[in-house]
Amino acid sequence: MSAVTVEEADAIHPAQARMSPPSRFGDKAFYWLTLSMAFTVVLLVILIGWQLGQGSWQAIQKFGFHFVATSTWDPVAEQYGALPFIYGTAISSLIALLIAVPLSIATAVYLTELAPLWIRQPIVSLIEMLAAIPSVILGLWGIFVMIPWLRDHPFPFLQRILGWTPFFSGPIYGPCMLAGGIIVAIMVLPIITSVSREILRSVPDLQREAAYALGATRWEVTRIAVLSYARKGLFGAVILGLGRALGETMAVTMVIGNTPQIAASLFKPGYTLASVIANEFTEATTDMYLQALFEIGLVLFGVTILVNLLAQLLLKTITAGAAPDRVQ
Amino acid sequence: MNMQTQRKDHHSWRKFKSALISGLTFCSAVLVIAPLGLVFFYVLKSGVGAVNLEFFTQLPKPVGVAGGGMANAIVGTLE
Repeated sequence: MSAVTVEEADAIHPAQARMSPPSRFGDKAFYWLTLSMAFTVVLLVILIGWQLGQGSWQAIQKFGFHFVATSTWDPVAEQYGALPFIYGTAISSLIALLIAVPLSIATAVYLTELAPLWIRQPIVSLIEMLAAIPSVILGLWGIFVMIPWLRDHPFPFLQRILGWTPFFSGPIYGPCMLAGGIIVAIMVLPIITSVSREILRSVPDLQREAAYALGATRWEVTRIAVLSYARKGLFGAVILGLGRALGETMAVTMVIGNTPQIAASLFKPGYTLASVIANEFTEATTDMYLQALFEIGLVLFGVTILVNLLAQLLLKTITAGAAPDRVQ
Repeated sequence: MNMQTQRKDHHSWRKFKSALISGLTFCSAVLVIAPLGLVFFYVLKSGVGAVNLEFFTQLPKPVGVAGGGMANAIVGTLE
């Protein structure tokens, strides 16, 4: 077969047949170039981790496990316990997810399954614009508009209804853990919505058609054929949002109150890992202070990477598996 | 109640539920977009009065002096 084609080629273009085959050098060079670029990203992550570890090495040796288990943060007395920050990051992210996940997934469902076609693209564009608001502007809006409003209306209302629980008791200052959680929720809404939307869109139409053929209503199609199919991927989207929530810095710093304390009440001010780095890095006058801040960075970096890896794993399982045995 | 009306009732209940969920998810979409509008109008309302040619071309005046602009910050952002 190939001999024939070569002969034919000879017959048509004798001059070309005598030429050497085209060089593969370009292909190879491009392959190695892109490969090295890809590895640069990995290398960058490793270097950041190494740098953080090196910067905090003395603090790790000095405080050991106490660093993440004690809650006194007193740079003057060289006492560094990061527990309030870890707590603040965890709780504000948790509040953010509690608010953002139902809204995001419902919006994604609306945009892929229920909305009229003409309205879908404009809403998607608006949600993408929400992701484009600089976080410092969101924080400024949080201070001047959101917090006064929350303090005057929803917070007293919450306290009237749920004031008997420790979570909504005590005085309402304004800047507090709950406000921080709400601003983080606003910031993770776009990412969870768009990832969920992609996942719902990846559900094969065959699933929907089968459910419609059985006489299901729109909502039943969504619930039976789409949501159960996409469950794992949606969980991945949520974890991805968590990864984003943990690292949010500027807007949270502006509304959370920046007080290193662990209080049950969500109306009390808090502090997050990212905020303490942003606020205190320029004021870190002693070596140990700087080391402690680096260690906070290391904790935040580690947690964020772990969460993102988990999200990637979950997102991969939805695209790889589950499909054939679900249809049946 | 005979079987036919029962089925019809059930059917309209299912349709109602579907419409209800559509409405709820629509509300959540509105809620998701709301912050965008609120932030945009707040920034516009508070900032639009300060925007003029001076704002883009002048350096900031000392504290307490009226006027001046943000040329340095604009250049710093672009560079």
